[in-house]
Amino acid sequence: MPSRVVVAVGTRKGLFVFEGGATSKKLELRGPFFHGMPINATFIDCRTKSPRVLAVPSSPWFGTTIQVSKDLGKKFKPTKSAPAFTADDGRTLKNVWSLGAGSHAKELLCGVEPAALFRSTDSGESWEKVSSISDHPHARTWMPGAGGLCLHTILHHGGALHLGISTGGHYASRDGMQTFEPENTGVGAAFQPVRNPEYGQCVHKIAAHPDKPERLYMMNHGGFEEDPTLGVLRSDDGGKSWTSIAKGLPSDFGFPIVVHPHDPDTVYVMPLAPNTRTCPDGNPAIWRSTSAGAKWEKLSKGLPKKDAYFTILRDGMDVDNGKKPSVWFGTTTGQLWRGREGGDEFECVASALPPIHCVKVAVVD
Amino acid sequence: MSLASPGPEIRVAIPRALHSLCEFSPHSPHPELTLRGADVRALLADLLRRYPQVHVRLCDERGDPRPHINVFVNDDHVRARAGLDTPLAEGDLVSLLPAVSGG
Repeated sequence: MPSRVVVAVGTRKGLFVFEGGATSKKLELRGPFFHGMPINATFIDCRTKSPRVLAVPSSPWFGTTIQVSKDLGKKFKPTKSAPAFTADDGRTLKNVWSLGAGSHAKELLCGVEPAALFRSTDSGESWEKVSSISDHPHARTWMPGAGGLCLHTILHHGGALHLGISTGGHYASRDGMQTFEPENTGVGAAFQPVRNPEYGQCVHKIAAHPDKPERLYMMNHGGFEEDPTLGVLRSDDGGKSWTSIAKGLPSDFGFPIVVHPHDPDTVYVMPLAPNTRTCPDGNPAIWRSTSAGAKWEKLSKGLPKKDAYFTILRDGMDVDNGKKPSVWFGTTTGQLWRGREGGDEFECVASALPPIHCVKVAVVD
Repeated sequence: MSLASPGPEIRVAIPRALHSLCEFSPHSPHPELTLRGADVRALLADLLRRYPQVHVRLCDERGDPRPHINVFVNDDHVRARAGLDTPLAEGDLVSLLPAVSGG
């Protein structure tokens, strides 16, 4: 069977799944699933023989469930339980912000609000809190940003587990989640009394490529005129220290950052106007670096040339793993865009979905 | 609160969105659960024991109703009475209703 592309799109009003031939112009749309419920986290788990699509509807009234599809998003079934704090913890789960792979095929990790990490070792049927980060001595001093106090990035990379917390900063475990330490040297926080606190940064997203274990990319909260080096960062020592790679971008403010699946030097961001979090001058563009951030090029062929004022949220962009990968992004105005050939030319896949929170894509056989 | 005592039998109305979790008879004109509790807190504890899959959708980890779930005893919101300590009597109707949203 030829390769298929599957796109899981979480929106403010439910989940939509697109599927079609990996290079097809036309994709089949399924959904909405969990209609009316915000979906902040989806995950396409390709570690199993048959890929699974996971989604986390979070009803403002009825709480959160973990939903799993074993048929590429045709039918979903809830797992037996969702992450939850214990009654004596004092915290109650407000939202789920990230779902990610654990260290074996049945292990899943889940980042929640208020910022905490949960682990399942049975494919999501049961969950336990990871105390080493959730009850870290810093945890009760983290503060929420505008989006809430959330653990949004879960990244196994270079033999470590990296977490992004807003506003907690970047934490890493190098001993199988027994302990976590803040690793934020060079990660600034213009909203704190000191520019470089030990922790407490408003990290937006972290990304990496497995072929370069020492390198990570980070979108940190930037957009401060007096210090344009806060927002787009790279680490060359496995996340221990970070330096700016924002030179050449129209703004160092943005939410997502993603890496090309076949080239660790190629990274994508979408700079936004810092005061409005919308496309600068109403002129949307993805920016690509093929030199690990040394130089950037604007990619806007096919995108609106003017009067476009949307936002891409932190999980609203992804790159598929096809032979010639496409860059996909969803907007807060409900458009799903696909940039073929690594973003060289964009086409609008869907124009009137609800506001898009997250986009995850995979090419499967 | 009287968790040790089964308390009076109370009719409990559940949001329609959760009816599929309650195994109501499809022919029942007024689908309601019958639970026991001397007060609302004990009633919610009985809901947890007998219908955990419904309780988790209506109450948070501490056992409190979720922020957008309103609890009425007959015509009164419990916040106008004694909150979760509002006493219950045989024949009372407790309604667990999602808050209105929108304009």
